[in-house]
Amino acid sequence: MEITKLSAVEIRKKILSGELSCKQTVESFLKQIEKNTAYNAVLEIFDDALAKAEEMDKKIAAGFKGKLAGVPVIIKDNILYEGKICSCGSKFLKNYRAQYNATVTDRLLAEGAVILGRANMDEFAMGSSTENSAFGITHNPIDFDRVPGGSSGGSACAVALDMCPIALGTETGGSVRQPASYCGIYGLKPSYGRISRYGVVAFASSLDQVGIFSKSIEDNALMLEVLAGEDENDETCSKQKVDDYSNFSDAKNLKIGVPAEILKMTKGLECEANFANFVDFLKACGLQVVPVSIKDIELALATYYILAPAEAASNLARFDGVKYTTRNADAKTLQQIYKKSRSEGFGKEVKRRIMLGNYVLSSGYYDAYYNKAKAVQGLLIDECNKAFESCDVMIMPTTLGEAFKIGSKPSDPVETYKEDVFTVTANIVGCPSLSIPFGKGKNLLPLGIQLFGKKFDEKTIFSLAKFIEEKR
Amino acid sequence: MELSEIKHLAELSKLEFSQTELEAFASDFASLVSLADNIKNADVKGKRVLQSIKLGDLRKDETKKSLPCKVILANAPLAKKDSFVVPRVVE
Repeated sequence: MEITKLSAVEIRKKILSGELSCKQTVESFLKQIEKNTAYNAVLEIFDDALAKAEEMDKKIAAGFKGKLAGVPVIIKDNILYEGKICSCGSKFLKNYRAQYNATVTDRLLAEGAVILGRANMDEFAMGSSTENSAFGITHNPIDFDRVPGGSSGGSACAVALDMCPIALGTETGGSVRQPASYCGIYGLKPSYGRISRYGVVAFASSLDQVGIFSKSIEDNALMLEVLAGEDENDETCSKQKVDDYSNFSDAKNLKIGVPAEILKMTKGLECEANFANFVDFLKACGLQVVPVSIKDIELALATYYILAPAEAASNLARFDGVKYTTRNADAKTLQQIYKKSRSEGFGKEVKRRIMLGNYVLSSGYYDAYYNKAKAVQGLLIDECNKAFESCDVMIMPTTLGEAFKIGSKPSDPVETYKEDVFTVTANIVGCPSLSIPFGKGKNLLPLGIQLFGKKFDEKTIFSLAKFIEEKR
Repeated sequence: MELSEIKHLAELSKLEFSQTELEAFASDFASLVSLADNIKNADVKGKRVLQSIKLGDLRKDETKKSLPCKVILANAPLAKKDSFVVPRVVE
């Protein structure tokens, strides 16, 4: 039995039955991480992981049966775990040590997970390739010369290479779904407000969500059950009841909506044929596929690249050389502390987005850009609600095509931003979206399809994903 | 975009750039602004601006237990007597 090939659900079962110990399981995954260090997916293996596994074995022997009892998990480097470094892929925070647990960390630990380490990411989650990390590029698990996607590229690569069965990432505009697609695994962005962001370093607070990577749909659903639910420390976290996501419902009568605008946007792209194949596959499975419309979806990318940098510029103002570890040694005045610490601590992409954010927020432009983008957000929400009147789930490609080669994007940043064209809408409207692996590109690398659900209806997209898995 | 405008944005952003970096930013910005400009074509007549949080949903404004000073200051580059230390800012 190859332990690292097991799903989280299987690991828990085997540990609870005594077939495996948590220590033995964690040792196997740690070996797998060490074997794959060249991919630079994991920035740090926590030195207490084995000790925590031994403690867990004792706890299980005493009757503990948590939903993740003994399951090894890796977290993205922007999620706080008390006492551990949390660097957000940034030089600015390279020595920042978390002083408390994020709510998601607490929930993982309460259900018996063992956190193995922290995964590489684009600096402050800004990027689509993990090339923007201050701690080196992460490589694609299938083709070493390509990117794993981003910003949660380390988490996606870790799951794909069996370094852990489940990993946490975060999403602001596709940072879980896009790397999931590039790495051939499942990646969920839950509804806005489904999972607490307390203790998760903020990028754009009206869009950010914690997301889940897994190789099996059961693992993804189980993890959402553990993480979801209200939190008094995050007022944006919904009080809406948490469903039994692992109890899949019958999906055969679901109506699947294909937005006409998406068909237009995929024309000539690598994803076009694969998306058409997916639609045919659903029809062959007996599902009803209906045309729907999100008329202004082509405005989503511009909307996102106004709202997200605006919020990032405000959120990252806290990194000022006073509170968070980094202070330039030559700065003499307070203004110099701000400017010099930020200038030496932040990478190029982070600076670019702060500048863009302050541009759209500055007087004279605020109404034309920021307020207009907020109004378009309202428009897109209305259009999605309208589309959901005639379908249960919408589908769209996750990415333009296969993972691109490391260093291949032109210097014009907008060319890289276009990578997010299919993913940003779910963040803007707050709906859940799950990227499932489906099909291959011209180099036989994985492609993904998004199952885009109604707000707080993760259960339906999980059920559809399960149905699809069974029909393949 | 004029270089002077980029310099103004850098000041607002509390960032410093070399002349070469500023010039590179000016070229990036033309492209970024043209992406953002797509929003200008949107017809949003009658649409209200969305609020992310409904104020009615917020918890009561009550004092609650918070992290101790020592913990808050643990990551400060310079701290003394329960305070962050910065250079004198008043004349």
